[in-house]
Amino acid sequence: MHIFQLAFLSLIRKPTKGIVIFSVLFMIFSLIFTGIIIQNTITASKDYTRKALGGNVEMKIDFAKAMQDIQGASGETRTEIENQMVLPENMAKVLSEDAAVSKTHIERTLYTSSDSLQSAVSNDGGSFGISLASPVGGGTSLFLLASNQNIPLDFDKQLKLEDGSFRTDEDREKDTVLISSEFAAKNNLRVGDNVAVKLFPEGEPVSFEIIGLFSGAPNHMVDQFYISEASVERHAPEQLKNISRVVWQLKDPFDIPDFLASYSVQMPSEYIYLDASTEQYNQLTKPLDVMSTVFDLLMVVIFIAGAMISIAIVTLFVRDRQFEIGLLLANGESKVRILSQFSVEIFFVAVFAFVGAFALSLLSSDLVASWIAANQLVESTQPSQGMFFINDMISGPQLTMSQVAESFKVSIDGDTLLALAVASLGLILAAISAPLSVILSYKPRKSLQN
Amino acid sequence: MSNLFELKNLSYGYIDGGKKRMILNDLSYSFKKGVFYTILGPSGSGKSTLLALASALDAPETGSVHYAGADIKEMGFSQFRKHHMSMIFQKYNLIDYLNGVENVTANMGAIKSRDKNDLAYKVLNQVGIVKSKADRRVTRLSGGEQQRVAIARALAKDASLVLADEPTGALDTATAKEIIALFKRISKEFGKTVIIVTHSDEVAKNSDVILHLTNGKLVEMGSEQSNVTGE
Repeated sequence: MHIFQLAFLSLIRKPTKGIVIFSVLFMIFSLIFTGIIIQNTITASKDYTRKALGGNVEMKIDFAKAMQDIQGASGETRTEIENQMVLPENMAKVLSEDAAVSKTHIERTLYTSSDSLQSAVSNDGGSFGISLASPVGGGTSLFLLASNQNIPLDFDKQLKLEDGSFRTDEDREKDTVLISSEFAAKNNLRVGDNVAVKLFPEGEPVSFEIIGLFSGAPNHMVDQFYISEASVERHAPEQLKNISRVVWQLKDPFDIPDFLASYSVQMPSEYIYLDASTEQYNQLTKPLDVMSTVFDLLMVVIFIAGAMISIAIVTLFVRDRQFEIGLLLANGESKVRILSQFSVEIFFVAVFAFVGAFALSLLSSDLVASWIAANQLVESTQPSQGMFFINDMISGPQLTMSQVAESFKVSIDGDTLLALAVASLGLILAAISAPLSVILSYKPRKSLQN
Repeated sequence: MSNLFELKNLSYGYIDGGKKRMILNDLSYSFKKGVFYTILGPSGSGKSTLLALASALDAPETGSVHYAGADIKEMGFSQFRKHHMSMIFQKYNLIDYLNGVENVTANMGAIKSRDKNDLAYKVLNQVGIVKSKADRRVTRLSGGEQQRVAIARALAKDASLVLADEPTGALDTATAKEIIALFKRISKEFGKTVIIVTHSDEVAKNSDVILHLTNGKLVEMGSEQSNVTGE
C-alpha cells in the first residue's frame, strides 16, 4: 500500500491525533502569519514613504554649523569658513555621472528688482522668516531661479503648471520665464506677454517671454521667477559662479542609502552635506520601526514556543504509535518509509492548517493594521506634523503620517506567500525532525514489546 | 527434504543482577521446507528470544541465522523480514486503522501483482474471512477473525517461512483448533515452513516436529505424524 494512502487512512480513521496537530499548527501558524503580514505591511509602508519622499538627494550648506564656527572666529578664519560655504559645481558634475542618477538639477538664485512690476506677496501672509534684501534704488524685489532643466525642480511635487507650457530644448535660444498666477494677476500679465527684468541690480533689463503660469506657491514664493540657465549665460555670465541648489534625481529612491554612503565622505568641506529627506524619512518611519522590532521579537518567541509545543505533540504522537512502528518494522518496512509516512501525515495536516491560518491571519492582520494606522501611527507623530509642513513647502514633497497611515493596508503578494510557506515549512521541519528521528533508533522487538 | 532455515551456534544472554545469564547457548538447528514445527518450553526458557532472533527482530550475540543458505545478516535483516518470512503474533498485531483487506495488502509490497485486492480477498476467503468481514475495520472483528486476518496477511506475502508467537494464546478452544488447522494447511497445501512458539500441547500435537527449548538448546521431541528430524 502506498505511503500516501496509508497516511490518508490513518488520518481519516484515527482523527484525534490529526485534530490535535491541526489545532496546534493552526494556532501557531495564525500568530506567525499575522506577524509576517504586519511586517510585510510595515515594509510596504516604509517603501511607500521612501517613494513618496522621492529619489532626490540635495547638496546643502550647513548654515547652523557655519554660524556657530564663525562666532568668535578671527577675520581670517571667518573668511575661510565663508569660502567653504559654497556649493561646488565640480561635485555636482561628478555625482551626476553616477549610474543611479537620472537627472541633475542645478539652480542659481539671482536677486534683483523691478520698478514697473508690483509684488504679489500679501502683507498678512508672512514669509516663514524669509525676506528678500531691499532692492537697490527701491522698487519690487524679485527672486529669479535659473535652472539647467526645462522643468524646474519645484514643479516636481509642489507647483502646478496652470497655463502655458514648460520650456523645451528649442526654447534655449530664447529668454523665457514661468511666473505665478498670483503675480500675473497682480500685474495683468498673460502667457505670451513679455516682462522686462534685470538679472542683477546694476544690469540692463532683459525681456522675457512668459511661457507659463504656475499655481500652488506659498505666499513667499509668488514673486519667484523661473528662468533658464541659458538666459543667465547669455546676459549675465558672471552670475553663473554661484550655485544655490544642486539636486540629483535618482532613478530608484531605494538607491539613496548607497548613494549617500558613497558620496557623503567626498564632500569638499564640513559645511557641505548631502540630504535626502533622511530626517523626515526617519521621523515618519520611526513608529514603524518600533512596531517592526516588537513584531520581530514576538514572532521569534512564538516560533520557538510553537516549535517546542509541536515537538512535544509530535513526540507524543510518535510514541503512541510505537507498536505500529514495531509491527511495520517486523513486516520488513524500512525506517525511512515509516518516517516518510508519518511525515506525510503531518504535512497533510499542515497544509490544512496553513490554508486555515492564512485566511484567519488575513482577517486578523487587516484588523490589527487598521488599529495601528488609526491609533498608533497618527498619534505617535502628531507633534511633528507642523515641522513637516514647513519642510515640505520649502524643500521637498509633502508627506504626512496620515498619508503613511492611509497606505498602511494589509496586502499579500508572492513574496509574502513565500515567506509564510518558508516559515511554515521551517516550523514543521523543526517540529518533526527531532521526534521522527527517534523512529530511526527504534528496534523492532523492543517496539513490539512496548 | 531440503533445509530452508538454519540457526547456527546462536548465543544470547541478559545481564541479571550484575551477572550474565545465557538464554540461548550455542544453539543450532535446521528447519526443513514445508514442515510444521512447534517449540515448547517453560516461561523464561528463551522461546520468544529465539523467535526474535529467527525473525531478525533482534541480532544474536554470537552465531548466525541462515535462510536458503545465505546469512540473513549479510542479506539485510529488513530485506529478510520483507521478502522471506512472515510473522504472526499472539495479539494479532494488525494495524488498527485499516480494515482486513487493507491489512493484508499493506504487507504485500514484495508481490508484483497488479491487483493486490483480488489476491487479498482470495487469501482472506481461504482462511475463512468473507468479503463483508474483510471490509470491516479490524477492531470490529473478533479475536479469532483478527488472527485469521493475521494469518492471511502472512500467507499473502508469499514468504516461505512463517513464524508465530503463541498464535492461539488469546483464543478460545474452538477457535484455537480452527487456527491450528489453518497452520497445518499452510504447511501442507502451500509448502511453507511453519515455526510456532507455544505453550499449547494442542498446537504441538498437530505439528510435524516438536522441539523443546531446554538449557538454551533445542531438543527434538519427535512426533507421531512425521519422521522429519533436525540436526
